[in-house]
Amino acid sequence: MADIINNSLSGVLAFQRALGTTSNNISNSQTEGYSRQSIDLNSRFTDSGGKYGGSGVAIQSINRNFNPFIEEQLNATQADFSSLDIYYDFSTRVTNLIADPDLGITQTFNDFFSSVEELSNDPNSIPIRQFVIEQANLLSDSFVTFQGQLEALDNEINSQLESMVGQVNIITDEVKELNGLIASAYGRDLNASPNELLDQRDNAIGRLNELLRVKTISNPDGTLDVFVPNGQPLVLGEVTSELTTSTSEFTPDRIDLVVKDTAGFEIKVSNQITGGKLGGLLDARVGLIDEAIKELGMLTTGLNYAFNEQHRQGMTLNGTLGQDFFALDKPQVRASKDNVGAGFIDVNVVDVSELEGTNYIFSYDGTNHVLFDEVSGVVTPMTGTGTGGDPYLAKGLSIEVSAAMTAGDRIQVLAYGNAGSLRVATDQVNDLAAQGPIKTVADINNLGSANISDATVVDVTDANFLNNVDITFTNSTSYQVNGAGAFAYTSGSPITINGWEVAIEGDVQAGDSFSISANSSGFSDNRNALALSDIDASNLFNFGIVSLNAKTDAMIGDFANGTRRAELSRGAKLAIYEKVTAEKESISGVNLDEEAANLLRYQQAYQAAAQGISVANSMFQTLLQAVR
Amino acid sequence: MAFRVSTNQLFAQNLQSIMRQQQQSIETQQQLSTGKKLIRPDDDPLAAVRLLGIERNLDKIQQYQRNADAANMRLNLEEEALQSSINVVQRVRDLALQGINGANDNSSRLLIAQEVEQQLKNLLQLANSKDGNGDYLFSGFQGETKPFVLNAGKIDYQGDQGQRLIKVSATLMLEDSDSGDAVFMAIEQGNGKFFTEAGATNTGTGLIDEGVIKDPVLWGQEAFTIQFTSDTTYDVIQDSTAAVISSGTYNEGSLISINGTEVTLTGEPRNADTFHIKPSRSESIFDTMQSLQNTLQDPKSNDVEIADMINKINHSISSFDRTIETFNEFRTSVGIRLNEAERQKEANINADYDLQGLQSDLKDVDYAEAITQFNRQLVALQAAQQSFTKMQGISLFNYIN
Repeated sequence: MADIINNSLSGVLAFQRALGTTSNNISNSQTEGYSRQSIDLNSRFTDSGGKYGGSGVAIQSINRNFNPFIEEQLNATQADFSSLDIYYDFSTRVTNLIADPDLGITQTFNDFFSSVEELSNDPNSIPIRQFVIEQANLLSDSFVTFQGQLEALDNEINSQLESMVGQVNIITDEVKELNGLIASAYGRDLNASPNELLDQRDNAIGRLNELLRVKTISNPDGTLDVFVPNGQPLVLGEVTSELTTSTSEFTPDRIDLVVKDTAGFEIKVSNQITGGKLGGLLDARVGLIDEAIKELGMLTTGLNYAFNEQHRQGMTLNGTLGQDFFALDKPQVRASKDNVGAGFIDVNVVDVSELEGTNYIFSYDGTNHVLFDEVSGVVTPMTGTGTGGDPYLAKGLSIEVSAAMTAGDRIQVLAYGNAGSLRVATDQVNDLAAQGPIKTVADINNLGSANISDATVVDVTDANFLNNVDITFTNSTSYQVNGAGAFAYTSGSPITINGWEVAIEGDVQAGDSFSISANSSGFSDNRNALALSDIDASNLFNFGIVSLNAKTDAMIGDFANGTRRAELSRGAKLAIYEKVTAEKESISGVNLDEEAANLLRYQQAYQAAAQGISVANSMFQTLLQAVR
Repeated sequence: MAFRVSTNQLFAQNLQSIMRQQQQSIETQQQLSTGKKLIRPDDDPLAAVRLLGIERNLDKIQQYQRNADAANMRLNLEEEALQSSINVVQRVRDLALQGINGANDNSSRLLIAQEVEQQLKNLLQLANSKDGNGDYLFSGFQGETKPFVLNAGKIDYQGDQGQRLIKVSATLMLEDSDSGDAVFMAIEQGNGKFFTEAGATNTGTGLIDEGVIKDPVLWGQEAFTIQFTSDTTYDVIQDSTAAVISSGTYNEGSLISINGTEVTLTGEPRNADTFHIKPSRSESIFDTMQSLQNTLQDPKSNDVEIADMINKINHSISSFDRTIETFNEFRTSVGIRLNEAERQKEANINADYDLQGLQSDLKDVDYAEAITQFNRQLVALQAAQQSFTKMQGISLFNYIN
């Protein structure tokens, strides 16, 4: 009878516990990271002299339904998705900035070049000249805005990095605390199942993976070590290494991520962090912001150099040659914050067509200066000696070492002007050079039928460029220049004097003369305006195969494609994430219908077990009655 | 075993599918309300870049149309000016013919000279025409410089020989003007190859015609003098060598052939009279008209002076013929350019139409398709919402009491 009571009691207690587990599942059905628990029951037995007999039920364990492999897959997918999600967000913003149909780069260039084309229709109209200068100002304002917006996005990345680094540290602290609690639980009882603590820690690792991809290793004492992918530890058992920020090497207003190890050393991890929001932000910084800044820099550098060169070859309403129309800062040069010496360099663009639009590092090893690509590390050969008179020349740049460098020091070179520094240098309507610089005139009394061509510019900086020159023929085969010399005449062959070139073609007779002079009052001449209006289609880049328009289109196409790609991979990752989540939920999630069924099941079992006690009781009463 | 589904998952999945349907229908709704298929460049990067190219070309075409209009305006003005100038020169040529008529006396010639002077002023005004922007038509690049001004009794050209090019398509540029130098100043004298004149000290009444060229190679652009050695005989002298290259006997009205040229002498030349053949030089139409005026207004007292006058007026008349030819050549050239501009404008309109079609294909919404899609999406959304509420209504707990 005692065994009946004992058996029933064990059942009552077990089903009570089972009901407790079920009610716990129901209560936690909305708790984030909670894994459904289930109770394992085992039959007890007694050994009475070789005769085995059941002696009730024992609770083997209360388990959480959890699959570590699925959890790991979920974490990896989570990290990928978060990274792509934030990258896609920035990619959309950069693309919309540069490709806006009304305010984007294409429209900005179109508006400006249309105004120049309009000028070629009516080159001496003051309102149109004013209009060209206004459009030029709008153009430079637009690039200042583009650059400013990109810098604002960069700052936003900085501040998001700062705040996420704080979140990472909070979570790693949490993991450390939980490691301690779990270790002491196992310390008390090797078979302990601190399910809630394990759930919380797994949840923390999940949240960590949302911020950055981490690797974990479980220790025999139940603790978990956490590493960034390259092996730098964030948590080792009950010790954390702080993730923190420091100014980046060349850019004081940019931050790098570093891990402070226990000895207080800072180890840069920016380029090792992948995945998660942090990884996405760092990718966006290099792949979007830096790229856009480079491309805009290249566009403005090309525009600046080509437009100015042509403008200097034109004649203004004042009868002087044009000056620079635009102005742009020289390529930026930044000394490393780790430099020991104060060495510095002066960098200028000498040939736009050779520019690669990339960032270089210029370093000094004590004997030689070396220029190499910042990302690939490929060394670029230089000619010259680096002095002012004989600067280093490489990739369209000239580099003069203006202050001697100390061995080991590094200087970053941005091989393009800063797009935000573009401004209009010619702001007076009269200074706009729409006319050709030189006019050629065949004397009206010439007897021969020869024509003189338009003058083409060879060297506008020639000191005598604008001087009058008369070419007078002494006979049909020989001519004098300004009444001196005797030069053989070949019909159609170029005659180069004072930095310009003309050709006289046809029969000439003695006494025929041609004059070449400054086109000082040719106000309705549009030759230079026509040349200026073609700059957008002339092949400035990549050794003369890519125009300003083509480069703009390529840039916008690249960014649009990049955004599209990010969107597609983000969608793909989301689908995987949802699928893995469903798998996880299938194992760990609470189903209320299932719990309701369990409630009924355990309640009935409980009632039955209690009935056993009641039966034992009435059996006992029966026995007592019998002996009374 | 059946796949377990957690209650949360059930909620989450239903919710997600509702939200997805909502997002899709909002995107379609946005397309319908804006009429644009492309909302952001990354929706279709290839189309976005093509659109940028198309829009750039559309902008350019619009600019070319404005350029062609401006060129048209100037060319039309030039054509009118040339036409009026032809009328003026034609009238002056008629006046010259009137002046030759022997019935005139000094006073009637003076009247003719006065009209020549008036016509000269008219021509000057035409040559100084301006375009719609206030720039002179015929001053080359120096649009703000008055091209023709009276300077010490002579009309000088102040402009240059520049000719402005206007872009009317990506590949075609048209000259939108001709320089006054070429139009009014550089007119060949005589028959275009050589001109003839009588010696200033002639004592006879011999007249020389403008002559014709028979063999330009044989002529070799040399100057010759017909020198009378008596009232009826003459020598032909090559000016450059002073050598007598032939001699002849004068018969009124007979052809004299000299090295590939032919001239005709009439009237009664006297011993020692000279007649010259010289290679043509450029002369301005203004100078020609001024000398005609001078020739007409100088009083004549005898036949010798009349003969001199007739020789000079004949010279002027051949210059007027050259001038009308020159003006007509420029008019033809302007007409060709106007046609070209017109043709290019039409080509531009066609290109514009094609590009707009492409642009519309790329970015405009196909309403029929979009509306169908929108309705389908709404039905799907509704279905998701209804099934969601139905499923949430069912729970085993409803039956436990």
